[in-house]
Amino acid sequence: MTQEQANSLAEALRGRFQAEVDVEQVGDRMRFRFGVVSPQFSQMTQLQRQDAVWQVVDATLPREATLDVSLILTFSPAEFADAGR
Amino acid sequence: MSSGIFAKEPRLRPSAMATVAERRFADAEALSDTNENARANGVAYLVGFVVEILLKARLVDKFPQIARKQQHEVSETEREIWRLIWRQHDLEGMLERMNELDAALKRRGERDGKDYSAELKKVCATWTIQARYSPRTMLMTEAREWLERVRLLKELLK
Repeated sequence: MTQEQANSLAEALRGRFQAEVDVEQVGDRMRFRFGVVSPQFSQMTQLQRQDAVWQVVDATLPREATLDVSLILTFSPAEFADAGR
Repeated sequence: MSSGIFAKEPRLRPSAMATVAERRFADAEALSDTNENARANGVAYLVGFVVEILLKARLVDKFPQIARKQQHEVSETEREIWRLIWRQHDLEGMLERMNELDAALKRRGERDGKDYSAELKKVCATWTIQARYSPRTMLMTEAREWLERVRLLKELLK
């Protein structure tokens, strides 16, 4: 995945979920992990969130580039505030 | 007592690890069958462990020389792989070192009309959140959905 594609996906996730999104390169290849914090996740299970964010991946990236998406971690604002305490 | 108990390294073979995974999955099913929400986190923990041990089995299969070494024999370049196999619970790190698995799941998924690569990453992300970040108690309905997704994935990971 190119850096531009990673940025596009981050932008699409921000738009779809009114989210705060962090992107980080994983290892020394062009593979990226994403962290998404959105109030929309508050009433969703983790698997529902995963289905929703991967729908955005599929709608945004070409098929081969989706392989370079590592994990997408999803948090509600309250969970994010609690994480790492 | 004889010395060296703690120096001994695990010697599980991939086939034995697959057996362990099946047994833990059966344990998860048994907990799920109780239908008690109080057991839901137990179900989630066990199915996450099933995925973890199957990924570790694949790493052992891919890097048998490193996996067989004792800790003091591991070189600097081998250390990360060795730790992923025997010391850590880093699903993302394991996936990172098995691009061929990701690609194979993608190809298989195209044949079946499903994205198994994404399914695996969804389960790994859920497990990572649950294990590292979330003190939340799950409901059994959610844990059961997770169980069903891993039921399919574990067959692909063996």
